[in-house]
Parts: sequence; structure tokens; C-alpha cells
Amino acid sequence: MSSETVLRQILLVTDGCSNVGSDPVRAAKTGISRGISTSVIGIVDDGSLGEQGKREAYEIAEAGGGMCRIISVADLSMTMQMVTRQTMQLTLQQVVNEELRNLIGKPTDELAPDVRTKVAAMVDTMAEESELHMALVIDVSASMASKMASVREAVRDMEFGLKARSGRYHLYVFTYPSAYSMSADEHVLEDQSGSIADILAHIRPAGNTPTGPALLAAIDRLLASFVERGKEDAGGHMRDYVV
Amino acid sequence: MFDPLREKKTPVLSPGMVIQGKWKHQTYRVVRLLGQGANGSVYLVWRDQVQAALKIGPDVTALALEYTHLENLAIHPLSTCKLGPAVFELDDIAFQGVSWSILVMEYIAGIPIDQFIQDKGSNWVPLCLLKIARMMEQLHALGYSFCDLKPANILFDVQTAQARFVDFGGITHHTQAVKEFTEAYDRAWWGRGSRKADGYYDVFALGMLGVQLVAPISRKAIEYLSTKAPLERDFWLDEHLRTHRLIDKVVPTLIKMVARIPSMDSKAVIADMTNLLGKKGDLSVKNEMILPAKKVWRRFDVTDWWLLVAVFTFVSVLFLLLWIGRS
Ligand SMILES: Nc1ncnc2c1ncn2[C@@H]1O[C@H](COP(=O)(O)OP(=O)(O)OP(=O)(O)O)[C@@H](O)[C@H]1O
Repeated sequence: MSSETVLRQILLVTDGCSNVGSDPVRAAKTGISRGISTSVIGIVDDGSLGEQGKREAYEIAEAGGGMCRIISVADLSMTMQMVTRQTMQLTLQQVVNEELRNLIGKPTDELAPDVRTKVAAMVDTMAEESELHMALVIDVSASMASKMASVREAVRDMEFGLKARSGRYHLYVFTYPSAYSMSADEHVLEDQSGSIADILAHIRPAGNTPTGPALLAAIDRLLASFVERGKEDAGGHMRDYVV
Repeated sequence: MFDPLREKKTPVLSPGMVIQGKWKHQTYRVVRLLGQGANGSVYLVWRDQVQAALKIGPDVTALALEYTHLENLAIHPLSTCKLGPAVFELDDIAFQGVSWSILVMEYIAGIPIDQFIQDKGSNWVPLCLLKIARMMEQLHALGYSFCDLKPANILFDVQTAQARFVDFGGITHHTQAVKEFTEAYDRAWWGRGSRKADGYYDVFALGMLGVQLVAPISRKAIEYLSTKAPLERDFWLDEHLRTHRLIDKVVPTLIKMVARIPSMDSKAVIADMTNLLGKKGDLSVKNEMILPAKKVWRRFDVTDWWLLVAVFTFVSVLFLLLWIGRS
């Protein structure tokens, strides 16, 4: 089961509160109902996040079945890795819980500690080996201008982390607001030898914060990747797409 | 890290409070908070007559994994010296109607290595690195790396200079990707290797720990470097080491430990540090470390009173019998 598991998650990096377009909390809910979790990293530097932004960040993560961290931009690399890993564990834990509930009618938090350690070991291996489809949704509204260099490097760092895992991964990078539409732009790496981070170097942060529409764009992308992968090995075991 | 949701979610235990495990029914009396980290809070507690460290957090899986690692290390036949705290139990407690996972382990009385060096002076650095390298060597022999090697996770006993790791949440098997890291100690961040766990990953981190102790890299510098590509960080580190190479005799070894192409494993570090300590002038450090440990007295409690009463009664009865026998 472990190596066949596919995880889909969104990681939102923002330093402000959404101010145009649809509700991001509702978008996160839509995501989780389709098996896509949403986690949020809120950056506090320069204070543009504010109480309202923090609250929204937590609400999005809560609705999206993910986790939320409020940090300063210098801790971004470390936090992106930690949040990704822990969100995977969280999701896998829920999957295992579900299976256990079906098997023996008990969720893990009602299991005796010695059984729970076995479950944890399984979750750990699965987090290392399962296939990960990850959409990074990055706020590039005007206030992010001073943080873009750090964000760019944190994305490069994220790729290092993903490469070191034994499981396969697909990284989709979105920035919002879009230069062309009302939601987000997806960035695709043409030259596979480079890093997607270098594309971010050319973006000029400007405009407002349509977080909701950006999340919906990422959800669409991850759902499409689900269909593509389904075609790839048609007749494969759909049951294994547990998430 | 500021995290109101987690703060709200992780229960705050107050001193004097008594809590009981759901499965093993062991009771704990809270003494005080020891520390807080990303994965929960650690409290000093009384577990019967013994002090213990109790970690409580929202992540059930993380605590269960840490428990497994600590237990495996403790019972592994290859473990010769203590690396981490001994474990007592993994359990749950109910707090205000919600169930929380707890991990109870041996309390390690010690201070983080950076504080230890601040108190003792930098001529203690080789000895400290030697002790850590010895612990690492054991871990590596078992196929694991510690990974998240930072001052807060290495405690030193002030009296005996004995070192112990705390926080085994980052420990990673050598086939896996590093789970937790801190930028300033991470090989990949400095553009000097991958983020796959291996013995060299730890040696690099230990080298950077040594650098932090003798030629600290400021938080400001790390913030500046976080906006630069790994290649530039790599150059920056070279420059930093070059300008500080005369500051301490340990630096040449540190330079080898953090080299782009790794050449030193934990055994080689042990050899180099032993060599450094062998040189004249460091004998004081060696002598000081064999000072006997100060005895730590257990709290005088109810059991002791009863013992006293029992002894008193016994003696009185003895005298009574003696007196009856005489007359
Ligand atoms: N067994 C112990 N004995 C004494 N002190 C301890 C013990 N375990 C933990 N501590 C203290 O509590 C602090 C936090 O614990 P720990 O590092 O395990 O938590 P964490 O949530 O994993 O933290 P981090 O964010 O550093 O990964 C430690 O830095 C240490 O000072």
C-alpha cells in the first residue's frame, strides 16, 4: 500500500489577508472534500499580516485539513520542509485511521500505545515513500516585494528536500495575483535541469491578494494531475489512491 | 516560533498539578516547564520518587516515533554509552475533556552546549565535540543519523561534562530524507551536499556547531544568506572560515568536517579531537572532567517519614524486650 499511495497537498505562502475574489476558506474546504489538503505559512515581517491575516491563515488551514505556521521570512526554508512533512504525516495518519476503523472499528487515538507505535512507524515509511503531488501557492502581491529573494531560495531548497525523498514527486508552482487573469499563474519549468526557483526571480510583485481564486486554480491543477496519472496506468489499482 | 493555534491547543500544565496516564495509570506531579519546541512542551515531573521529563504535544505520530527510537536505542546491544534519555512510557492523559499523547522519559539535568561553552571557555570545545562524535558514531553504526543537531538539542552536565542528546524527533534512517533541520547546520542549505541522511550529514552539522561555538555566524548573516543561492552561501562560508582560521586551534578540523567533499566520518572526528586534547595545555580540561559528580539528593517525602517511624518503633520494641528480659 505504501509505495502506491499518492498524496496531494497545497502549501500557501502569504504575508497578508485575501482582499479580492472568492473566499479562501471555502476554497480550502472544496480542496479537502476532493482529497487535497491545504497548509498555510504566514510571514510576519513588516507586519502586513496583522491579526486578521493570522486568523485567516489559521481558518484556511483548519478548513483545509492542514497545518498553519506563522514565521519570519528567515525561517522559511526550514518551515516549508517541516510543514510539508507534517502535513503528509497528518494526512497519512487519517488514512490509516480510516482503514483501522474499517478493520477493527477503532481510531488510532483509542489504540493502546504499543499498537500506536506500530502505526506511527508505518506512517513514517509511507511519508518517505509515497508519491507527492504538491502545489506551492505563493503570494506575490506588492507587500511581498522585499521577501521575494528569500521565497525564491526557499523554493529551491524545497526541491532539495523533495529530491532527497525516495518517493516520486511533482511540484506545481503558482503565483498570485496573476499578470493576466483574476486568479494565479502557473509556472512550468521548460529546462528540466534548472530549478523552478529561477523563474520566480523574474516576477515583479504587485497588485492585490486574490487568495481564494489562487487556491481554486491549484486545486484544479492537482485534480487534473489525478486524472492524468489515472490514465498513465489505466487499469491500475484505483483503490490505492487512498487520498 | 509563534503559533497561537498550537499554544491554544497544547495544554498548559501548572506546577503542583497531578495527572494520570490512561493506559498505565502512572501518576505524575508537575514541577515546572522545561522547554517548548515545535512539537510540544516538556515538563519536569515527579514520577513516584524519581524526577522525569514529560513531553506533551498534539502530534500523536511524532511522539510515538520518538518513543520507538528511544526504546530501540536503549535496548540495542550495540549501545555502549547513553545517547539520549531512557524512556518510561508512552501514554495518554485527559485534559479538560480532551485526550493528549504524552511521552515520559528520564530527566536530563544539563545545559545546552552553547551555554556550557560560554561558562567554561572555548578550550572545552574539542572535548565537547569529541563527546558528541562518540555518541554519533554509535548512532551511525546502527544506521541512523541525528540530523537536527543544534545547541538546544545537546545537553551537558555541568559537573561531569557528560553529554546527552534530547529531542529524537529528527532521527532518520540512512535510507531516508532528512526530516528536520535548522538552516545554519544543514549541508544542503550551504550548498555542500544532499539532504539524504548519512553519517557525513551529521559530521557536517557537528562541524557547523563547532563553528558556532568558536566563530559564531550571526542571525543577521543567516538572514542575509537566506536571500542568496546555495553557491553564494558556500563561498561565504569559505570566506568566514578563512578569516577565522587562526581564532582557535580546532578550526582546521572544523574546515575538514564541513568540506564540500566529505572526508571525515565520526571516527575520524574522534581521532582528531583526541589528538587536539592530547596536546599540552589541555590537560586541565581533562583533569577537571574527572571530578566526581555532585550527589543530587532526593526529596525527603512521606515514604521517608514512615521509614523513620518504623525504625524508631523497631528500636523502642528492642529496648522494651531487652528491659523485659532483664527484669
Ligand atoms: N529528557 C529531557 N530532560 C531535560 N530537558 C529536556 C528533555 N527533553 C527535552 N528537554 C528540554 O525541552 C526542550 C524542548 O524539547 P524538544 O526539543 O524535545 O521539543 P521539540 O518540540 O521537539 O523541539 P524542537 O522545536 O527543538 O524540535 C529542549 O530544548 C530541552 O531543553
